Amino acid sequence: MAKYSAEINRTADAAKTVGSLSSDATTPRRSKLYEIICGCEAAPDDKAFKWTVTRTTAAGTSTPVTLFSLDAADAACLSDVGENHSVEPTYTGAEGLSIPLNQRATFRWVAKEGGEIIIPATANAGLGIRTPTAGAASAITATIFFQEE
Amino acid sequence: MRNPQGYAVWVDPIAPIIERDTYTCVHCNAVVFVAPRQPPEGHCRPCNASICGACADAGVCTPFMKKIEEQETVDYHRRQNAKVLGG
Repeated sequence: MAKYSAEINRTADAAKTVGSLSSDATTPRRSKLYEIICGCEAAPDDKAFKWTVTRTTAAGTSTPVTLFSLDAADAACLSDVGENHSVEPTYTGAEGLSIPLNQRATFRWVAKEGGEIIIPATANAGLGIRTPTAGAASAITATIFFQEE
Repeated sequence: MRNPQGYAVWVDPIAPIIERDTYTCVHCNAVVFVAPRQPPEGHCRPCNASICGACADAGVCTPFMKKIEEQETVDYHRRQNAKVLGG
């Protein structure tokens, strides 16, 4: 199982997705999100944010993000990570991870084996990372780590 | 909690660091934060695993991995049919 990481960036907006991770449309593989680090690059300030990770059934339209392979010997990742969406992903279901976060703070979640958020090997299934509460239009960043089976 | 499935930390330069154990609901795959010395929100006996409050309130055992496998099977057959039909 190969592991990859990706950095997604956005100017915070309550109505827009920060980034998404989606299975390939023709050769989907099961993926597991096991770590997320999120925060704000702007000057420290007391603004409230809420980050969420929610399932998607369609990836929307976005700028592709270059993935970093944690083991350079691994094959290229088939899943896609996108940011700066011009067409929002199609969200479904409740939030899988909900993170309240101050602009000046950083958050990190890491899962043990068996505790990951799983993306099924279904075409275009994935996860979307959003900030439904965005206290300011600040530059925000998230780094996600996932493994693809 | 005993045997947490994850760890979360909030680092704020002007406030104490907040750390929480987490577990992943075996029914809906949601990540649940657990306060220190608190039990999980729910427990599923058939699965013998922790579940979130919403799934505990639902009271029905629907393992997430079973739902994933069903979805994957349906999608696999859909793609195979599309290949056969030239779609």
